[in-house]
Amino acid sequence: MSTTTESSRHRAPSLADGVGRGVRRGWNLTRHVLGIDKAAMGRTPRDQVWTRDKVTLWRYRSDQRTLRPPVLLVHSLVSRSYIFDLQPGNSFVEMLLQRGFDVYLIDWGVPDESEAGNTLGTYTDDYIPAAVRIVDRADGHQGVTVFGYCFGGILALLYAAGHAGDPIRNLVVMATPGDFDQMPPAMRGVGGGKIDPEHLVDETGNVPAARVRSSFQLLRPTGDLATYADFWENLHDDGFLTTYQAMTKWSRDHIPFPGAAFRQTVNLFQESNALVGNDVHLDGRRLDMSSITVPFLNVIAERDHIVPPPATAPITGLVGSEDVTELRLPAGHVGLIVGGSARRRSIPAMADWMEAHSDRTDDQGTATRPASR
Amino acid sequence: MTTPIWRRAFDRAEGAVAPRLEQATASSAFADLLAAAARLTSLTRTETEKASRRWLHLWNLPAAGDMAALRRQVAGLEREVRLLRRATGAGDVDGTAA
Repeated sequence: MSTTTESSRHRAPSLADGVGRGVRRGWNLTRHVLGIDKAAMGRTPRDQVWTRDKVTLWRYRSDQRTLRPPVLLVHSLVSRSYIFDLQPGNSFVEMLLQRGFDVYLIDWGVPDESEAGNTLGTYTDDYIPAAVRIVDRADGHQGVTVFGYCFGGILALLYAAGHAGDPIRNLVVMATPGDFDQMPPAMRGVGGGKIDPEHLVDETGNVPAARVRSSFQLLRPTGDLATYADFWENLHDDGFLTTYQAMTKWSRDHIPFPGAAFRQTVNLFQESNALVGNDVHLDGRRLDMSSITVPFLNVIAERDHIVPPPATAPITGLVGSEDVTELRLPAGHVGLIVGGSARRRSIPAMADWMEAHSDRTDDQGTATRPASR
Repeated sequence: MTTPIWRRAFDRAEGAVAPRLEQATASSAFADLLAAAARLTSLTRTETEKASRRWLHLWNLPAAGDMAALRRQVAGLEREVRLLRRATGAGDVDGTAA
């Protein structure tokens, strides 16, 4: 008798759970299909500090800036910058602000014909130096922590190597490709050198966003299917749906690769592997990575399928800094800054390093002491 | 919550197929195929544009190539304006942040 009662007690909640899940799945599917209550991205309040051409420098609002120098985020040339500030509660920017950092972001905008002639030097010798100067000036010349993500890390390295006298206080690169021979084949070269880069450039003079996206899809041909399976399995979970919408939007939301910069990337990195050989010649001058002497952090994602650890690790030995740290984290390429593991482990680990290389300020903004060294 | 049967089946199938697909897309033959596809797409675009341009010009209508040429000219002008702005120190716009 008691066994039957026990079993009925077990069945009843599970039936209610099942109905509840079914209702939530139905509602979430409707929400998703009709686009109701879509995930909002890039919501942390920010102010435009400066613009040049299509490039914008943003400063995130905060009333608890207790650490100096400010952090300048540099993202890739082919993706959208809102990955740094995906959603409230799931935002790299938000967590840095909560720690007391003053956070800036340089956004490249969406290139069109006007940017087709932009070389890598346009970014590393024009936009980034200008942004660094503005951030440094705004904060009373305390220097800047330059933080590059993925290809943004390459831009940060090239900039730092070519501008040794600039007010760079710390340099952080995250999931940044160094050794292109260690990259997955789809990222290693344009068809292993078999495709003429000119065939990938469209009438605007840029590599279209759809081509950029398809090269990422080749890395994981079944990736989209697996994502749909995840979606269907977790459709009852409101939180999952919100993150799913944000992540799928970002991962499909590429921007065109400026043609001239693309050709240089193919030639310098994919064909010549010049970065790992420390033989980068950009716009007529050699950029020596050993001239980078500021404190340096290389963040490696151990489960990165886009830029695997063997491609990222050699960067650590390239710079001439005495204070060099390699931080290996059990995460994927995006999981470094997005998701629960990022919130619990990756972001705090990176923020710890930056905090240890910053000064704590008093209420007037005067630097008082090293934060935690 | 246990993993549904359909998901376990999917994972098994995906686990079997994905490595082979990844291997295939990383192969030299696939690179050849991509190269051929890129050449063909580029050639098709050029030839289609040529053919449609002849036809549209018969009717005094602009073709996609004409529009692209115009856009390139505008972009060229924009780049020149940028350089001039830069030279005169008027290229930057300060924002609203304190």
